[in-house]
Amino acid sequence: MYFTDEFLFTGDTHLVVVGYLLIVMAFLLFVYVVVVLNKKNLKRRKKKKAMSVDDIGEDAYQDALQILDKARTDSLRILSRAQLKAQNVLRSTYAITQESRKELDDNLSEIYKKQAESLEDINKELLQSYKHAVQQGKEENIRTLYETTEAMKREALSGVDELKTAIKEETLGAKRALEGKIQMEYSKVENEVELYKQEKIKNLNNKIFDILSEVYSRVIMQDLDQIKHEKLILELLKEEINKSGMGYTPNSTLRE
Amino acid sequence: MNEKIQSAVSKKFRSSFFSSLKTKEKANQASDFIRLVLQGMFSTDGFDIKKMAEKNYGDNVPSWFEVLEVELLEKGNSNVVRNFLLDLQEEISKVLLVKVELSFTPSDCFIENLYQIVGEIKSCGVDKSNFLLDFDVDNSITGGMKLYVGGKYVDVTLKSFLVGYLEKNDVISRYL
Repeated sequence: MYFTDEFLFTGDTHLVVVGYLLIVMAFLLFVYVVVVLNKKNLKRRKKKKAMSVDDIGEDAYQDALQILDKARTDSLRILSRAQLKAQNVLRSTYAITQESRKELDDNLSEIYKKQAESLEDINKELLQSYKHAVQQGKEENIRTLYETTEAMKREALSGVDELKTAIKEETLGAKRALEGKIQMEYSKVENEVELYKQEKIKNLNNKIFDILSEVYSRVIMQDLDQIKHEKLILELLKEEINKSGMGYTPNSTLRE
Repeated sequence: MNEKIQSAVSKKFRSSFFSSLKTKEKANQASDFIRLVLQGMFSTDGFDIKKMAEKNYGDNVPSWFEVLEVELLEKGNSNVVRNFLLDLQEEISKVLLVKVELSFTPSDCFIENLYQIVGEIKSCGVDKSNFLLDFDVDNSITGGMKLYVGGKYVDVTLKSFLVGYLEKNDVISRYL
């Protein structure tokens, strides 16, 4: 063992320190990734109501990829720095043997590999989580969209029902008014037709009466001489004067 | 002042004279005779109303002449007779005419009976002393007559009575 101005470490001590350092950094990285994702997720949820389902899914997926890329880059950068620092420490250590160096490299490789696997798992898990989140968001949006559509449908149907009712009432009202008007016009025309008919019938009857009377008169006159005719006229005259209310009061007998 | 001058024709005479006339035709005949009398009564050859009537009408002296002759004989004075005849002429010209349309020339009996019936009508402004019958023969009237009295029309045609009978018994609906 050599004593130098620098802090002296044994090969085992180096490995333990570097291991703890990597674990702490990995934990911090994990926490960081989770916090960032949650923030992004929260922001996306706020926005997703205003976005279409496809846009939300696409954006979430893109955001997740970016975050993963960033996380991967950050973790690799941190690991690289840790490895570089560890190698620098190792190089500056005289007491370390070739065998110890190899063992340390192996251990570092192992840690690096595990870290990489761990990151890969985290990537998969995050991806799955985001897919789930996106899916959930999509379903929620679909449900919201469905509910909104249903609400709009109900609203629209309600409006349609009201419109139908209004149109029905207006139509019925107009129909009743039209029926009333038609009925009135029909009655008017019917009355006019009836009056015309009655007038025509009356004229026809009068013509028939005239013809019949003329015929009867001629027949009667054939059987009447002037004396009988004159007597008939005087009888009819007395009858007509009495009917007319002209105040006929016979005071003397007629001459035979 | 316009004072109504009293006619020389009495109501009694007027009634009996118009009753003897009965028709416008007879009234025209009487009016013509009166005009002749008025022309001849101041003739220097003398005047005899009876001879004048016989000269005009022969043996068929009308009945109205007898009524007139009696009335004139009662007057005596020529001027009174003249005034009377002038008033009588005016009365004849103003007399109410009852128009009668029929299809034949009426007999005297018919005219007498018709004059009697019309004279017994209380309304229409007729009485026995102031109307005459004015006959008009119309061949278009098949039977019966038409009477126009005091602005009223009385249809006594056979045709109108038959129409009334046919209407009353609803002949068209029942038999046609």
